[in-house]
Amino acid sequence: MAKQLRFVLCFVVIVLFFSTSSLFADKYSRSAVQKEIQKVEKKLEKYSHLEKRGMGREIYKIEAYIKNAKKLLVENDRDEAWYEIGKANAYFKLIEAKKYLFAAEKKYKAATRGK
Amino acid sequence: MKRIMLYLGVVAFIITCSVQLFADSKSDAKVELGEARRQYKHIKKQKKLHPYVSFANYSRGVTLLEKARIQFEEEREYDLASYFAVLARVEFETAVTIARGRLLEHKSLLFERDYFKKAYQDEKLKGYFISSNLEKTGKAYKGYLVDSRLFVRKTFNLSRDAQKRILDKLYRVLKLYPRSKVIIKGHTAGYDRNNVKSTRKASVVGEYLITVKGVHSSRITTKGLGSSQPVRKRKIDRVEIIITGVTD
Repeated sequence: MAKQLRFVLCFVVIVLFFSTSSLFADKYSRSAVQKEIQKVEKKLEKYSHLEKRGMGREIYKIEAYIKNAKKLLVENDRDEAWYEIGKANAYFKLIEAKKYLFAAEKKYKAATRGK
Repeated sequence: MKRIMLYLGVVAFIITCSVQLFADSKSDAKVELGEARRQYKHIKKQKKLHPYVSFANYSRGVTLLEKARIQFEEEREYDLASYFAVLARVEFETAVTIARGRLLEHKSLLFERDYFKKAYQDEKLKGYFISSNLEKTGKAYKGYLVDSRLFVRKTFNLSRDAQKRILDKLYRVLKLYPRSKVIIKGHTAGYDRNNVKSTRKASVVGEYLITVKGVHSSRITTKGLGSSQPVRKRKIDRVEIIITGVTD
């Protein structure tokens, strides 16, 4: 009885351990995630000057997601790291849209000024 | 017994950690999904922006929102749900931002079009007034046309030249400014009994504008003043034209 109980408990421990650890095959490899992080960081360098031009929130979010992704990669959570970096990448679209909006606002002010 | 207690303790610890992890990722995903849905509703409410919303971004957002919902409610993959929800929210925000930019661009174009339309009308108006010998005096445009330019010699019939060059341009001014009105005053150099001749002259001009050009009679006033109002102490056979209400 004690032996059986021990066996069951060990089995439960092992199953729970594997379900919470990242030893299940992740979809994305470490190198793929690292490459993606580097790509996003490089892209961010080009946009960092826009922080003071009304796009601070977006730049901050991208930086936060990159930081999270790196942290998750260190912890070997590759899939979660991939998702974080995917979220960071999405924000560049919003930055481009805001640039377009600011240009349209400038054009409108120029058109209506002194008329 | 001690070993059993030890195993149970470890199991309990691992269960607690995994439940906590699940709870964290589920609550994050719930928050992100809620934000994405809020953005979606925000677009629906902004009816003014609907004609300008980028359909590509909007439809991508809707697809991603649905994916997030499926991952959250059915598959229970909370990290993936959170990922799709963030992407959906960004697509909706991008769609709204682009729509606001397009709306402003459209407003600028309309403004410039109206501005240049008015400027063009003003230039046209100046041209008409110059060729009609009318000058701005206060809020009205005034001028006079001597009989020799208006009428066929010794008659009260309008000459072809007068019709084409002067009165047609006068008509265009009245057409450009639908709220404007014209006062036509006939004057004579010599004695005009009961102002018959001067009234006749003014009426001929007025009738031309009403019957030939189709100007509404309420916009035209005709008067005969005989020789009571000379021009710089000189009495001239003429028709005076005053246009008022030349505004938008």
